[in-house]
Amino acid sequence: MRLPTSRAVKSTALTAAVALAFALSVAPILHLMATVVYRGATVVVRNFPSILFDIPAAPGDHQVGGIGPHILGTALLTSIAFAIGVPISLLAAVFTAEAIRRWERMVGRWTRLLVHMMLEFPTIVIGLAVYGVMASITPFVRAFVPGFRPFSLLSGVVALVLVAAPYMYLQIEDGLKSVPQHVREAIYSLGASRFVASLVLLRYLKSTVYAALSIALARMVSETAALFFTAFGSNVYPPLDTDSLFRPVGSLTLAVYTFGLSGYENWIELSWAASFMLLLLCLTLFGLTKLLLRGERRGLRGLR
Amino acid sequence: MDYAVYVKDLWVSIGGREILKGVNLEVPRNVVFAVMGPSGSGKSTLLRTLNRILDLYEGVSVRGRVVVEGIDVYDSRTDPPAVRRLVGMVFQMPNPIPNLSIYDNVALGPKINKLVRSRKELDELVRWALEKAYLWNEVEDRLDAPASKLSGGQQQRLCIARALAMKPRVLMMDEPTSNLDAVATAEIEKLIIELKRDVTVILVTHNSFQASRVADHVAFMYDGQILEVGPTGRVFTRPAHKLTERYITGKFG
Ligand SMILES: Nc1ncnc2c1ncn2[C@@H]1O[C@H](COP(=O)(O)OP(=O)(O)OP(=O)(O)O)[C@@H](O)[C@H]1O
Ligand SMILES: [Mg+2]
Repeated sequence: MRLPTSRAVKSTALTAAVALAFALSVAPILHLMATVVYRGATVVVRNFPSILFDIPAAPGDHQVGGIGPHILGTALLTSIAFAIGVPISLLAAVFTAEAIRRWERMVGRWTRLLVHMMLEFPTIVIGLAVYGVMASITPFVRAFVPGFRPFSLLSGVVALVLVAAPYMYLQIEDGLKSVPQHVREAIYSLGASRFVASLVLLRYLKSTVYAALSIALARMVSETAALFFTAFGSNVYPPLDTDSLFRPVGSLTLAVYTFGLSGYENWIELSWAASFMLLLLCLTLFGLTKLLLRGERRGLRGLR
Repeated sequence: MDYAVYVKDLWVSIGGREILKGVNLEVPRNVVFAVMGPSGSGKSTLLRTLNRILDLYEGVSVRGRVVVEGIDVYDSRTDPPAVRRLVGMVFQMPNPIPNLSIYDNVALGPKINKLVRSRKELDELVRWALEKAYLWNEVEDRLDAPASKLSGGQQQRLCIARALAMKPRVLMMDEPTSNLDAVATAEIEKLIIELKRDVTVILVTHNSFQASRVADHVAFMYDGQILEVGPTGRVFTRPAHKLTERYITGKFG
């Protein structure tokens, strides 16, 4: 039998150390997820399905009620902000990455600088800035739209776009910039206009685009700070009229925060339920993206 | 002045460095026009100037006049894609679009420029181009495979097919046979001569034998200028310039 050499000992020790470090770093995440799932799922299951539709019960009540308005609010805020943010980011990224004329390249440089700065802003500052703008234009806008308010679904949407669009823009822009020059030349040499060339290039970058969009969507879903002064939060359903765009609206993240800090047992339960719904939503998004990307790769393989 | 390509006093700089220094060029229609010259003399840059693909580079400045098939290429009213539709280009480095299939690489040009009206017409055009580029037999059973799976020489011929499928009026080929074996090279040279009937071919080559085999006219480029240009026979038998003579006899370049 051979004695283990010092190198083998060192290697084993290092492997063990790495394994330990890994375990130590994932343990808190797993614990967090387990807690949220355990405490949140308990509440959701016990009150299923009314918790998905009802409004919260009064604080201190023996019932919990539900987080219906918050789920609806998150759905409205994210879907509208996504529908506005995606085309803006795509167009801006294409414009600056495919800039040709000198002034276009200049605009591109300034845009990139601005976007990098926006990504560094704390999102609560973005929310505050949106509130400031909305509040200052309110008197003028009211002349045309009497129901206009600074705390509103609209403000929330604007804030979410400002939080997530810079991220999408940078990811897609970086992707476009990283396309090798000879590939770009190939596409343009066929007589492609910038619009057509961009479509071909975005198709070439499909997985980058998917990843950017899904991460941006997850950021919108989980954004909290930017909504404090904009969407503001609400525990009731907005009435379905033309003014609902200008009324405060709740969100799952705001529900986690306000119910969690409330000190009433039944509301704290709602907070756990909202956390669980958020986690579920983000994991679903994550899974869907993975699935999409895998389908994409398999599609390519199937062609061969 | 009825040339396929007419270039007058063309100066091009990239990032402040002069690359082309007063190029003059007159390429008649339906000829094979070879451009020779040592590495770094500006041949590829000249081709990139003719179809405005140079626009994609940053810090480029172009002075002078370029007229291709009657279009003033650098006029502010000229639409660059329209120029590129007329002037096909085969790049020095084979550059198929890697994620597209072999078929789609060839079909993209005709689709973009709406050259065909039906899927059947497109299929026929793609097949025609691949046959002309002497590639059809090697790829007919895997047209849906990604182009990046082809060998270097196959990619080069794919790029030739891609340019042909656009039915350009002027075809610029930058060392189109650099990756090919003797048989494929002979086929491509045959193709180049045959193409003359319909298009004007501008061929950049390092190989003076190739130039003498296929070209009607040759130009010799040196340090951003065209030192000599003339009918192939004359330039090869009685070069007017010392450097041309030294280049074609293989003494440098
Ligand atoms: N994008 C660029 N930026 C800066 N300089 C460039 C660029 N492209 C080419 N050049 C310079 O321009 C000069 C001419 O280059 P070009 O590629 O046109 O030469 P060429 O004659 O095609 O050479 P080869 O036979 O090696 O292909 C070279 O000195 C090169 O360094
Ligand atoms: Mg070259």
